[in-house]
Amino acid sequence: MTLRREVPEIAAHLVTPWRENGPVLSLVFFALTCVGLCAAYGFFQLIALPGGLMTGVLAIALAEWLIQRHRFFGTGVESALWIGGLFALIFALPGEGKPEAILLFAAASAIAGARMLNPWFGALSVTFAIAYLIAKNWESAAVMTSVAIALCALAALSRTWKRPSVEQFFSLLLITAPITGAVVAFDLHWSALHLVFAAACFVMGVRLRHHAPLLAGIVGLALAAIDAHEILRNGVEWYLIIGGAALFAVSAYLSRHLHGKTIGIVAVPAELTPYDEALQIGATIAIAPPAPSPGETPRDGGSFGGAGATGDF
Amino acid sequence: MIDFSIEIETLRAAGAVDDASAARLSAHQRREVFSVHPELRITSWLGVMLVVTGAGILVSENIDRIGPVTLAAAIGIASAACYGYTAWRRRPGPSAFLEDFVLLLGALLLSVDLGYIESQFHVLDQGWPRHFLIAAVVHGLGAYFFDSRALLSLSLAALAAWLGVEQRFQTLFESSMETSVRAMTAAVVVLIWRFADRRRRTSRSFEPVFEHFAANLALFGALSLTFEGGTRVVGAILTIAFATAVIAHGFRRRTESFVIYGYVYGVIAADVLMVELIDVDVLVALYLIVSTIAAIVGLFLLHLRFRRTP
Repeated sequence: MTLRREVPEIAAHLVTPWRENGPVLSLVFFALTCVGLCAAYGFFQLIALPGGLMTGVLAIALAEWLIQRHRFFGTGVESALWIGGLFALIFALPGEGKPEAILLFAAASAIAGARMLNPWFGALSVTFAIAYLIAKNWESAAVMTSVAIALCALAALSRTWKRPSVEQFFSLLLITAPITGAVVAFDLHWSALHLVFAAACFVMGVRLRHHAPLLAGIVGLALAAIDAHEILRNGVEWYLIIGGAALFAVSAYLSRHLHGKTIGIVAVPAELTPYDEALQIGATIAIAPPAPSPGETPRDGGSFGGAGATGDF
Repeated sequence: MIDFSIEIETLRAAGAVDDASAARLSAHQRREVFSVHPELRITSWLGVMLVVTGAGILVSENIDRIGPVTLAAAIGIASAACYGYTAWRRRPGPSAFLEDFVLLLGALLLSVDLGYIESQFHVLDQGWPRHFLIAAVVHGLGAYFFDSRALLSLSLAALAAWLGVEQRFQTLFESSMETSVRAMTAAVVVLIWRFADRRRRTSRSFEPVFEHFAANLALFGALSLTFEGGTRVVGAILTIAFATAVIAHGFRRRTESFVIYGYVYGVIAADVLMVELIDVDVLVALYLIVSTIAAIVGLFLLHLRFRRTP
């Protein structure tokens, strides 16, 4: 969370010369700049100039000019120029497709993250590092490293930090690292590890009264459940229904238990982002499952579903 | 953990923040009050999605074992129970979110059941897509009865599905003139519904949902025309015209999301058209560099204007 959202009363008194945008606008600027960088790379290649080198140097120079002269910081443009520029430079290197190239991307993300104080780039750097272990087929090492990194991030969150970006970096790391490590190695024997991780996150989340460990705890539980999918190959539907009902019951119990409390841990309405409701509605419509499989649909084919399901007829 | 206690104390000492506000903010910084409402919402939502996904698999894989009538009846009863519980328990207040999720569960189960009944019993026969219309009507009625934006969104999505607008990203590239017309028709229907809602209801809580659906359906329909060889020019002109209208609406409503996605749709349409017209690789790349820079500068200026508009 930024200072502006965390404590708007303070932010109102802070006047900085830096230009910054909200998350959605930054994302749009980031995407547009990436399109421009790809076009520049293609253009230099087509006129027989070294595309990676030219694009990389120009992008980083332009980013620094925008930062130094026009006080861009958090607009999305300078971040895209920095990380895109470094990636373009990597593409300029002669390569044989070895997994070690992933480490270059990890380093580039880390450099861009440190320069731009961008927690997403920092988390991306760790993702690349774990992806390297996966590419080397060290899947066990990937899972254990990812959980170890997340636990380090959990410990780091218990310290007091002055920069919001540092706090955001550790929060993101705590949530994304275990997912990256687990993505190729869902296996029953990792279930216990993810359960222990989830438990540690919940305990620390309640002790620190911090959202990130609590969310990481939910992620840990989900990973443990997915790890255990092999023993539930038959009757997965009941597993989902009972699991969903249990989650809902826990939520209902806590909500009722905390109802009326005004101090300590409470359940009064609060938002993680300004887009919570829109995200929830969008996600519901997007993933609402179709009812029967296409083979069971009537007469002329098409796939069924509820509101928000496909309508291909 | 981040802590702004010192900054708050400095501002209080300088008189920039009054004592009561400083005390409240400091208590927040010390986590004396910490709301787990977001976590409870996420957990409830995940619970609902898991149950509905499980029900979806259940109906598709257990027909022989359980029997279609039993299955359809069981899901129908579960759905009715959710609606009934919500109607019984619902009251305004902070803890109402649980009832919202029970309602959502009921609506999604109903959707699954409607699709399942139609696929098994062919009630509507050749007119089977009309089960989407039934879902749209039922969810629409539910949305008004429970004042639920989530149900209204499900209703609008079902309405679009009934009109033949597929909910897949690939549709943009694979669709035909017919799909585009369907999407634009759906946008018009949603707009008519929005005007009717405005005349009949005092609450304006549904307006943003109608407007976002209508804007995206219209822009999506026009943009998919742009990706078709024969209708590229018409599609691009329509997309830019709709995008301009959506941006103007965003300015009027002071809602920047309309401005942003209207602008993005417009840029994509212009680029697709120009890239097709240029048709020389080097010039295309050069055009994209120039157009992207122009698009970034244009969006900065638009954003600046939006912030300065009272």
